[in-house]
Amino acid sequence: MAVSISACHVGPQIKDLDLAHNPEGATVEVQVLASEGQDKLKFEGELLEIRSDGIIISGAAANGSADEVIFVAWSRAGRVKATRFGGYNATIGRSLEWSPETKERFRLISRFPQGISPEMMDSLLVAHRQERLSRFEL
Amino acid sequence: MIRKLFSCSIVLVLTLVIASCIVHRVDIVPVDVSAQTPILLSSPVKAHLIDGSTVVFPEGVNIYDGKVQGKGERFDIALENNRFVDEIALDDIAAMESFQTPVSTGATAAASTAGTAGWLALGALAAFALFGSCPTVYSGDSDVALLEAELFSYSIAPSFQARDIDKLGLRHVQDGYVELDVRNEMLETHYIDQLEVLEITHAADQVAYPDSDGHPILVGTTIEPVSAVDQYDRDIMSEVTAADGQVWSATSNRMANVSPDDYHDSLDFEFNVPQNRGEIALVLKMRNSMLNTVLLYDVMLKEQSFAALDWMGHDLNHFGNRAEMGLWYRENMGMTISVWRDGRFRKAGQIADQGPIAWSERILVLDAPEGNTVRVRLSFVADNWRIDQVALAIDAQRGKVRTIPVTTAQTPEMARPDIPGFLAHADDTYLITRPGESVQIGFDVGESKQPRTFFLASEGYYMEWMRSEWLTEEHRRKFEPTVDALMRSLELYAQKRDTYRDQFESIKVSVR
Repeated sequence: MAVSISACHVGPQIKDLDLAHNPEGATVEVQVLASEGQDKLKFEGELLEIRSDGIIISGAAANGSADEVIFVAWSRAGRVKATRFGGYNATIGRSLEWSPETKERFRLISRFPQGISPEMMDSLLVAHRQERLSRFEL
Repeated sequence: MIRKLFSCSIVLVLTLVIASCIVHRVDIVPVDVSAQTPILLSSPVKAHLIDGSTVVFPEGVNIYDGKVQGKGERFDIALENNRFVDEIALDDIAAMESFQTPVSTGATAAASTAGTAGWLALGALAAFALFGSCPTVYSGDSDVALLEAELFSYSIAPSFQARDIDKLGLRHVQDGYVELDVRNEMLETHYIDQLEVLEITHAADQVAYPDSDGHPILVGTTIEPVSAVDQYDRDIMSEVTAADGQVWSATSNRMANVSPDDYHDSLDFEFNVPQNRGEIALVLKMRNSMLNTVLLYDVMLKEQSFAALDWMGHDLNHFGNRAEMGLWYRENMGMTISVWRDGRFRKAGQIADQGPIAWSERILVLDAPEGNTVRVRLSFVADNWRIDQVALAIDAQRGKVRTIPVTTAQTPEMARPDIPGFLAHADDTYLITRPGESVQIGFDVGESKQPRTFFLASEGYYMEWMRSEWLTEEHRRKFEPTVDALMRSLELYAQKRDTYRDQFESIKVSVR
């Protein structure tokens, strides 16, 4: 039985899961849909907040842009994947349909499930040496 | 003193790896917690402070007297200047979540090494679990939605995930298409891993029932018993000979006399068996009483209060605890079917609890009788069942089953083409529903000139939401699977069994 138990318990345990032990939110990939004058973009970074009108992450575009805090309106958000929780890969989000249920799942793996107040946003922008939030909206 | 409420979320993250059995899941069970009430969480916790700081408690926290205590590390909003803390005032906290890792029996079952055999056997025992209410399924066979089934009603934690099969009462199939409404009508989160329809075609004079292993069995004629009595020799024929809604239940006098030395009911039936009858089988139409719900709600959850969160999310997924609970449950709950042979009743099979909401039909194929009569005994914990029909079927045989996956899915808001993929296999993707949510799913069953019967096969689990009235300081009793726990359940159940079903129905959540 000892053999069978060890066989079945191979694999990650909670002690190995970075998301549970570190302050960051989950890492997400966000496709930003093309808009007038803007090509389609893909960002990868830390999920900071899920808002009623869009998603906020801290990350860089795949074209090599600098790390920044960005807001993507739901109308511009294509596929969003939360694929990495520290040491392990898992796809819990791959939604194009932003139902309340989907948003809630993402909210709870964000760094700020409680929401980012204006004062907190100011501090975040200072930390990222940004003057203002980069916005992707229609 | 003003009480501040905050949301304490349980985030369940499951990651289990053996070759193909990789499962990843993030789950949330929100609970409103009074800041004045003690809570002990032994798994990692993250606290999000009002000023944007984050505090990580890898070993969990103890929450009482307006404070969160534990070995924590605090990070500012820039994730710099981290420092260790032992205590945070609840007033500074905007939200918290606890991380827990359940183990998936389903995922473990995917492993095929010889070394897992013992684990799987005990895992199967543990699958005889317990229920609150679970997903309900309705068909629109007529103008009124008809309750067809309640799914995996015994799976109250991730490690209790199990496959279930229910017979559907559909009479008509419109344009080769079957539509079912899957609802979450209680304060629970449902995790539905797989749904599929099983179709069995048969002759016009045959009827199909699922056996205790989930295989459809075809039978010919069914025969009423020639006698049916309870353990006090009371005639119960009028209650069990026809599926007419007049059902057997224990008498109030019986419930008043339940004791640790006498807490099982037994019902005895005798059937005349015709010659040239082929295989014989026992057919039952029944559903559970509310006893199991009292056991889960009032004894397992309410008595543990806050500790029930760790119990469901952590303790039950520990191998030893799961095995102990599974064995205890198997020994005490469900229904044992025995047949008279060689001078005594001998166990012929067991039927797991089916849930208290939808009527369930089950069949058990029996060995050939010694003579022209068969004597059958059903035994179970007092009043655990409502029994509408007990009959003997002849010419029992297995039929050929066709499996039909979910073709379409629609929520009240929109078409959901992604959901059929989630439900196609018992794998790493779940349809998750919360109270009040429903999904209409469609199956392309095609046309058939032959009579056919449909079954709904399902796999998943659900988690109860802790009710605020369960979270009080006086309820702090750790659940132990013992006769004493069963006695407490029976005592509480006996006090309210006449009105409990109505109360239970009244707390259903309206589905949108």
